[in-house]
Amino acid sequence: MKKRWLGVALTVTMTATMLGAGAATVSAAEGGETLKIGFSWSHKNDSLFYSFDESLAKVMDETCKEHGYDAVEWVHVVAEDNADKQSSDISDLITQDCDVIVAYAFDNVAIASSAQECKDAGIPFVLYDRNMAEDAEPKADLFIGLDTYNQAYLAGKEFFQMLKDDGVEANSIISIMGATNDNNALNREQGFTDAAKEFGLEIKQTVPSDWDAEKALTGFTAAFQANPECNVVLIASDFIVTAVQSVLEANDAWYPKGEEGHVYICSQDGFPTGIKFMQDGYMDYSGMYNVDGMAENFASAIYEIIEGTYKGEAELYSDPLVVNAEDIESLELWGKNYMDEAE
Amino acid sequence: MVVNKNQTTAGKQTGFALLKNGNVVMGLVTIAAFVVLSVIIPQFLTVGNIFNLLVQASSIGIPAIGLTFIIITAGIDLSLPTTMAVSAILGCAIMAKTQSTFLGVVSILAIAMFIGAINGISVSKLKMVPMIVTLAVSTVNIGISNYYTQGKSVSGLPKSFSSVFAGSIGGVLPISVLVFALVAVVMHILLTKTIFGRQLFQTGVNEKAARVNGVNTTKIIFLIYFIGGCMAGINGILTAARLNSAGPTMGPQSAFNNIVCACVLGGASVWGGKGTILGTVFGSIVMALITNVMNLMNIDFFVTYVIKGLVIIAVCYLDVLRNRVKGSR
Amino acid sequence: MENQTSLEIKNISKTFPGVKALDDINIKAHGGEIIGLIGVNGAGKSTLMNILGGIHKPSQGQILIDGNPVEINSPQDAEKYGIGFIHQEPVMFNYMTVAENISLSRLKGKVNYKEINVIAKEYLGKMNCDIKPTDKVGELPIGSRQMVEIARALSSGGKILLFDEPTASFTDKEKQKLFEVIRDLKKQGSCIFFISHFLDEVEELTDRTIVLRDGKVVITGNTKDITREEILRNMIGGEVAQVGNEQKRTFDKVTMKVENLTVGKLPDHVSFEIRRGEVLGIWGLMGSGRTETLRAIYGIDKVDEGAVYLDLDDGRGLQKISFKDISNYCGYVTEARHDDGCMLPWTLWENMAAPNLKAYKKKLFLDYNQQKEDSKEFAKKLNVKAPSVFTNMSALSGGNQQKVIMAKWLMKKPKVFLIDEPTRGVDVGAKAEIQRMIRELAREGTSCLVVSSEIEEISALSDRVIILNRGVIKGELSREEIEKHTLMSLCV
Repeated sequence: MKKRWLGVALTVTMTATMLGAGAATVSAAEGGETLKIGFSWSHKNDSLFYSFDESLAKVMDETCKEHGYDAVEWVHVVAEDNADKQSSDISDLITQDCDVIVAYAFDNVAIASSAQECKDAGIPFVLYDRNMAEDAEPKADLFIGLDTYNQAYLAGKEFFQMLKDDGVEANSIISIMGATNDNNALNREQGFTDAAKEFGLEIKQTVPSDWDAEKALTGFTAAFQANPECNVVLIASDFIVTAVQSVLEANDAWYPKGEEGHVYICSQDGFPTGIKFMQDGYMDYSGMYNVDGMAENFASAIYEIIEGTYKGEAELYSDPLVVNAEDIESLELWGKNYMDEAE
Repeated sequence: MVVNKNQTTAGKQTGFALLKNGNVVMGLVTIAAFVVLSVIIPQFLTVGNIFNLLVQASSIGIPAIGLTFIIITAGIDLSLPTTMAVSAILGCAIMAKTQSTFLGVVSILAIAMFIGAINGISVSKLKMVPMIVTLAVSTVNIGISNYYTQGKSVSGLPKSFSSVFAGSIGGVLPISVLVFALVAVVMHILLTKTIFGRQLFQTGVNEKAARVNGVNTTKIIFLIYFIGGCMAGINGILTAARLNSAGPTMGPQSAFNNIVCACVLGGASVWGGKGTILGTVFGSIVMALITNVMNLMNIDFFVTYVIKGLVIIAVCYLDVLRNRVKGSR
Repeated sequence: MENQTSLEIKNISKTFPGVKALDDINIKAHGGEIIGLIGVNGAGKSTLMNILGGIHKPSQGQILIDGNPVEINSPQDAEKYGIGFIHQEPVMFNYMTVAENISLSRLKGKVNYKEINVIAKEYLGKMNCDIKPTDKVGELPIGSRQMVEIARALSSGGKILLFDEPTASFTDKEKQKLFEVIRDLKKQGSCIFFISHFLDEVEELTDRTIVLRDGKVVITGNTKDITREEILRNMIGGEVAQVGNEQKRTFDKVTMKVENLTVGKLPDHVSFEIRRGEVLGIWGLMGSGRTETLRAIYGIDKVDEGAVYLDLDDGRGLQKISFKDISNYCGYVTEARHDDGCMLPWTLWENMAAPNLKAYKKKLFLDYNQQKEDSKEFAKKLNVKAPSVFTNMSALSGGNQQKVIMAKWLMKKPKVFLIDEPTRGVDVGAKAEIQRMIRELAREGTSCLVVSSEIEEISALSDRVIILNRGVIKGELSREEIEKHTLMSLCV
């Protein structure tokens, strides 16, 4: 007796919860035209992604009226770092008759199949921050990205300039880069390399981290053992800095700026962790995400894309914000909004 | 002592006894849920969405059908998702180099079968514990996948591959769904109407007694893991065709949750002795349905996670309730 | 003798959902007597004992001890009232010592080891038992463990002792020792209930006999005044066909030859032949390798050496059969049917068809209807008492389960039938039926290899008996030569 009623109760509860939750989230559009934007995330538990979300929501809200829309409705779907799921999520967005579909691609090759699907359905497809692989087809209608080359290059230049001005000699520069299949990571590495070259410096050793803190830790441990005199570390994203901290602390080399033995660190992205480290003086420079800039680029092009009258560039890049410790107070940095969580 | 006249595991139930069957009740409730959902969500009952749902169900269901055979012996195969990924990766690499769809498909199947055979020999002949062995194999799969691809998915596949295996009949019925249905039918017949199927159930209910009955339990156990590998391979072909690429992220280890949940929801028990193909198909559709509905209703994805977690817990509890009678009366 | 204890079971009834297990039972007992309690499985013996032992509460009626009505709600209560339960398989803590087990209820707080050892010695002494209080129970043989259980009952003041089929796995020697102890206890004033299947034991030991059937007392009286036939008749409620008394038969060709069968030490180079229609008994003590021999012949255990030859009635005489094919020609009724004899969660027809699936292959698929039909036929033939072939195996009594298991092999028409303990855990009625079945099978031409621990059974069934001792054949006896003394002497 118990067993079959449990099965029934289970299904009924499931349905009821879904309906309840759904009712709470679905916003009824009252009169006028609503712009429906579907966003397929690769995952979402990432403060940077929340920042993207907020920034886009804000800028679209501000601009929709002048383009004839009363409101903007966002439909968010999250794939659990699974290319197949993302493909299915995008199919679901197509079913929902979105006016445009944006995706944070998980797999830069597999995403092409979704691009094809959107094309077949006649819905504009936009890629955010991560672009498709070079040889993948068909291309998205729009790509909004950060100029990741510049992100490293510009930050690197100011960083190395500071070193020169302070009369610091760079020994055995170690660079911890992202994943070798990620265009962004490759660009950043190139940016750092070129910036260093301009100052007559070169990167002694590159540690690939696959965007994984564990790998960064093991890789950097080995690299630092091999080059104990290293005093300049370039890292591809702030979350890696904790790995660097572990290694440097273990080797008695973790000191803030101004103290003897300080290792100079230049990072990227501007996560709350990074900002904290900069405030405490351990990190010197960062090329941060220009989240608002990217959102503005998106807003500038999207309406025409939907109309089909867009004549601009298919790929819009924003420049990063190069930030050092002094700038933190004065600048609008996306990471600052999430500082409490970083503690 | 209550004697249940209508209870069999191989025969058919008829008439009103059907209504007493908990599984049938669940089936009816789900159909009712479908009806309710189609009213609430306008796009739910569209051809496009239903087929999208079934395609996702096939991605869970085809490996789940393989797992059904294994779970009947209280065994488990944690390597199903990663076998799918690694066979797809290596097979697609061959396909990309030779630009031969035929060779690629054959390679994917062969590699998956090979891995299934390794699992089979380890469990049946070497008497290793299924959970440990398949987990180890899964880890090796992940290693090979990541090492070979260096994170970049395999691409450059011949056009015929995706047009055949990711196409649709009459522009409407996706091949994945058709294959899912065919596999389900064939496997159902294998499980219920052949000597192999009956011997498998015997092995699952009481291995010692099965051997006394003359069943070659070693051979049976080998075969079920081999079948698991085949299913993973088929799924690999279909998924790679859909994505027109193959990468290690195609088959994350976490996909296993959906697969085992589909089996148990469909009536199989992790303690063995029970399992039906129809039930597994049903379970797969339900698992895919949850995600589909969450997406269509734009429900915050946290809620989805929580609901999925609750479903898994409830399903496990259901399994305990159904099968706790192990010896106790 | 001190104050004799008295026990009165007055109008006791017990109803479980759907079943009336005990119906108005009235028994009077007192210290200084041994009462035998007999009944088939399901007659109510265990329920009655469980009520006395505090496991069940009676639905109606009263229990009076020493004239006072008592309520026994738990085993602790039973102990308090002086009721001690000695189980078939003693329930002990194997890692603890004898003294600790005897004084279990005294093991609170700081244990005074000296004291409990003294207590143990005292009670073991009452039974003339030379077990040391410091021995670990797990290392003792089963007979000794029973002694410990008795001592425990006594040390908590047990005056009323309930022995539940205590001799099931005993040798003759162990049995006699137990009987001595029980007689001693009787002399010391205990009131003893002795539950057993073995009528000769009841005859030997008890003063009074009570027979239960369907929850009622059907006969009660002094043991020496009741005949065995009367007992049997009352147990089953009908006439029981007696097995035995057959003329000597002659046999022609050899159907199976076993040569040098060796699996480690059990069996160890065993060779014998069995002829068509012959029942060959295999006798030996526990651990002599009888079951191992059957398993080796049947091909379940891998043999180190040896071969089996079968005559397949195809004109080619004896042929060597590979071990993995033996199961095609032989049936094997295992020793522990719940363990490896059948699929308990399955129905009757599924179990019956299970070893013979190849015969039901119609083109590509299985013919289930034919399986169901055939099993109906065989269930009827073997008089299986069950509502239908769609009943679950687990709902059947032991005897009927055993019949179903025999049926499943009979459906395969084997050349040789290997049977290990055909009537273990089977009630008296089914026991006789099964034994009759085996004789009939033999008469029809199937060779039967029977292993049994019951002397009566082996002597009733076999045309010949081989005796195993530590894996080696020590002797062979023909039907006339089978006699208790010879069998035992060849064992040791």
